[in-house]
Amino acid sequence: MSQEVWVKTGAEFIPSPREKVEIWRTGDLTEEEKKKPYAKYFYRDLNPPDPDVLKAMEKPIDPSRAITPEQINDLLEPGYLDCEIGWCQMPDGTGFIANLNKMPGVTVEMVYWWFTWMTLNDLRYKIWYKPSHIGHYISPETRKAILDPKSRIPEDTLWGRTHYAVEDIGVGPEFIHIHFKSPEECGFDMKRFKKPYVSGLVAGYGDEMMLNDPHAPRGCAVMCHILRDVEGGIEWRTRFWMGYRLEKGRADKVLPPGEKVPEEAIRGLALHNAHEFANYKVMLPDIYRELGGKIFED
Amino acid sequence: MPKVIACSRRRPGLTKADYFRYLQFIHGTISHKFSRPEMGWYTQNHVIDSAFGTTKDSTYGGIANRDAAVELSFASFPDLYACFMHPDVVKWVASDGKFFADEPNTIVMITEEYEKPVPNPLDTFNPGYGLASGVGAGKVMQFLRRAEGVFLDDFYQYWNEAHEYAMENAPYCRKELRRYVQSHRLAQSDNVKAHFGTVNVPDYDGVASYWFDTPYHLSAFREYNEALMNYEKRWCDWSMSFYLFVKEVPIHYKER
Repeated sequence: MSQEVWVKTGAEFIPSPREKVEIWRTGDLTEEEKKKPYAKYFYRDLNPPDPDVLKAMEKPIDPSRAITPEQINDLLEPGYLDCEIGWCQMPDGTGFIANLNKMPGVTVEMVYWWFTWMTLNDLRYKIWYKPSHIGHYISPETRKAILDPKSRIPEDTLWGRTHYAVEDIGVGPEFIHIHFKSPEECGFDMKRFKKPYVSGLVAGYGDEMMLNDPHAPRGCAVMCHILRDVEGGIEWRTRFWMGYRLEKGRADKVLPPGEKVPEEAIRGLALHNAHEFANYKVMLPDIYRELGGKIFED
Repeated sequence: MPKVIACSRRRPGLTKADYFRYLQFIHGTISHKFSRPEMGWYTQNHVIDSAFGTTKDSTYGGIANRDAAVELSFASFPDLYACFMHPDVVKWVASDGKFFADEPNTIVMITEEYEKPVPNPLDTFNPGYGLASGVGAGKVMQFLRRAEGVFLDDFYQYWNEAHEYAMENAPYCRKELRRYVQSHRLAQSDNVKAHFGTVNVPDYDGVASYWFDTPYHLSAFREYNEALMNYEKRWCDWSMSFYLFVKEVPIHYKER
């Protein structure tokens, strides 16, 4: 990526992603952030992932146990797939990640509220998982849609919207443009996209830019968090397909021939996912109850 | 379906006639000879006339000279890479660019097409025209760069709004426009810059293509463009944007 592109890309992001990294490196909140009623969540101890999950993430799985993004509808089958927790580099060089989180006390309504309310400032993104989450932007039009009481959640506030997240998942700060998509746009068979097979979806694809090296090629990954109601809560099934993007309901491999997504990058994202959603599942019911599930700016 | 757009000007020392001859008959022949099964359609758009920036600008901030914009369509990214990375394409096609194009200043982007319906895709003059709709011998390609500070997702939303506004307020264009396609720039664009020898040119966020019946109908675009620029929201950097009146020259045809 040329420097010229970077300068232009950065013009709408105020303060800049790099300035947000500097604040994050202090390890604390700004004085303004500390005044917000939900700042206390930043200072809570993190809920760690289940040790079994971390153990499953230690080594790659056999790629034959993975599914490709073309098999996304397999996630609508009852029960579980061969691999629900694990990661690997596929023979074609792309990356695969699966994770399963049981979330007692969490509802799909809470999840959609979170992915709407959370976007409105950096602090909300930080309290989700402070070791990695640095900052977050949305466009003025997305903000307007989120704050409009007439908007449908998630149809108007999440699906079709872009989140611009700054995070560090172990390879240095990255600026990720996450394009959230509706189930149709992800390629799901809408005849089967219903309860009890699925209760909700947070999915799309992301383009990433390394903040320390804006000239490095951009990575791309399809992300799929598919939610299912279970007794007393939900289960959160994650799949990442690294090296792919989504286009009009179809996953397209964008990884050039001969290139491979590095194993450390796949494992890094798998572990990050395990950690961030381990904390999320404990924090979400508490903050949702406290704030009444309302959408507000400050 | 990813589509590569490369917009170049002739290299120093060539006349327009030299350039068009080389582009169509030499480069086009080489490209056809080494065309890959992965390739979809490949069309050259030879520039007849063009305008850069607006009449309010005293000067244009970029290179105010573009002689052709080529479009290569693929079914998928693997097909695109397989074509561009094939040894014959690298050796014969990519290396040929330097003989006609000012390569360091070529605008290159990978895009995704979004076709928007038009009210009159068919001309009513001749019943025979009904055999093929959405075509025309006059074409405009408009390269748009978003205004500074505008988020990319908002840019695309405003572009659609501005298009609707312009179509409402440009009756001649509404009547004469036969086809309209937006091509949105993808983040993977930088991966093909090396093929075209691009060094450092401004990035454009999208290209609008307009088809009219004949080059005589292209003035309908001027009416449309005035309305587009008058749309109330600030979304486009008109001073850095430009449009080309072009003649389509199909090199490698596949049914769209």
